[in-house]
Amino acid sequence: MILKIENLRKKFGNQLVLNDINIDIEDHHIIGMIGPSGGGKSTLLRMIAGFEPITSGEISINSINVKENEELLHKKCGFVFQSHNLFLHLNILDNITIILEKVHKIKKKEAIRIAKTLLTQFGLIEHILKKPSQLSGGQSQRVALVRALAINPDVLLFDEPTSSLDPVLTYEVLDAILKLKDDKKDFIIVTHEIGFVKQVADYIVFIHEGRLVEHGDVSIIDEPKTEELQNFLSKVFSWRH
Amino acid sequence: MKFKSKYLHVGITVLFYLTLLLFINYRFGYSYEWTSTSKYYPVIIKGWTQTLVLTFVSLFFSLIIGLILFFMKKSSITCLKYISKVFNELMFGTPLLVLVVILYYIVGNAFNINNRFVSAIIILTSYNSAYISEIYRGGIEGIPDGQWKAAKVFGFNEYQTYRYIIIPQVIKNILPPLTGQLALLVKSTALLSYMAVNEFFNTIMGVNANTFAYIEGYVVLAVGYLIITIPISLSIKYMERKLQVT
Repeated sequence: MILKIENLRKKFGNQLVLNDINIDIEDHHIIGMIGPSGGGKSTLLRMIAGFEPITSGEISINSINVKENEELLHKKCGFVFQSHNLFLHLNILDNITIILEKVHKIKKKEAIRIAKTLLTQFGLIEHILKKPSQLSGGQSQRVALVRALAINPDVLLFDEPTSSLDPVLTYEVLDAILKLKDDKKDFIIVTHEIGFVKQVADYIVFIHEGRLVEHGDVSIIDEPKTEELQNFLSKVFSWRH
Repeated sequence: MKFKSKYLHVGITVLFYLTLLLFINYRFGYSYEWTSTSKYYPVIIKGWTQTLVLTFVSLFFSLIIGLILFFMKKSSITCLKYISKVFNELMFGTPLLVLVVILYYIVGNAFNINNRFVSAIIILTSYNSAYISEIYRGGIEGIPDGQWKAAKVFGFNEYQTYRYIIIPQVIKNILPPLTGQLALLVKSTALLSYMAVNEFFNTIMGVNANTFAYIEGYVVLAVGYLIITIPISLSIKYMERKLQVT
């Protein structure tokens, strides 16, 4: 994946939430975005996905400029929300096929085949005719993952996919995400699961108070250079001692 | 068992009316005399049909005008926004009876609208579209933000977002308040008797004046309105179940 961010700023009203972000990442497959809550990492991910307006600056992912080529971006990037955001009026199968049919113009029969293959792969085939309200949090998040995968995206974006789940369901979802690594899928994940990020990611981005404080390969988790990342990690890991 | 629970309330409503009739008979020794009222059944059915037509024609226009009012209120054009807001305030603050008198006897006369049926449709549509625009607002604002975001992030255009994601959920959201509004609309046609529209209520009043069988007349009225409102309520409940989201 190629991710380039230049002089990026984001304001909500008068409040500056992201300030002067610059990143140039090439030849990395899984990027983990970490940092304290409210630091701006989810906002950054939503801007990469093209549904949070950019105040100033440029973002391009795999050479697709987010501002200029929104349509292509939505076809090439799959997104998994913090809360699943499945279409509540549709059953699980239709949640997936509607995107393939209406946006990607894939024939119904083929869309159903794609959806069923993926749902089987992720152990969800028996829920195919259920509505999202009939699924557990973990199952819903896995369906959201399948929905994002079904469009055969170049990159998948995960916005804290486990933050609303209990530990058992978190494991269920992380296990499903882990499969993507085996399938050689590129993705960016915003999460507080530092142990998981350390295991799957090959590049880490640390955002603190709207600034890109430290980034680099996964070794920065073991040997943080900045005081901010040291403090953050010491707090994250403190409960273990 | 399922059948019973679905229709039980309808049965109880009918039972309530029967009990009331028996109570009147028992408490006041009133003996019902149906023959004189039943002689007027062609007129009564005509009045009842008129109420039905007034209700559904007004509902049809109210659903359209209500939607226009909703979009005007949401519009970035200040003038449209205020027209919609002022219109709604006027309709919310004015009793239907006052509206009937003002629109028919004053505005109608001023603009030479002599057709009572047309005037009645205009009055009922104006009054109901204000309420229906608020029902739309509740229905659309009740859609979780995540549904819009998910539609956007997966590349649905604006038309597709409304057509495939938002409207099906809005319909489900607005059905319960719409049932109530429709029932109110059916009964509010009775106030059109003040402008001498020959709808159900006015017809029965006319029949009563000839037969002097007032209680029988009112029983026919109650049953007539129930025959309209019960199927409405049941069919909307059926649609709700079909569209069930959560």
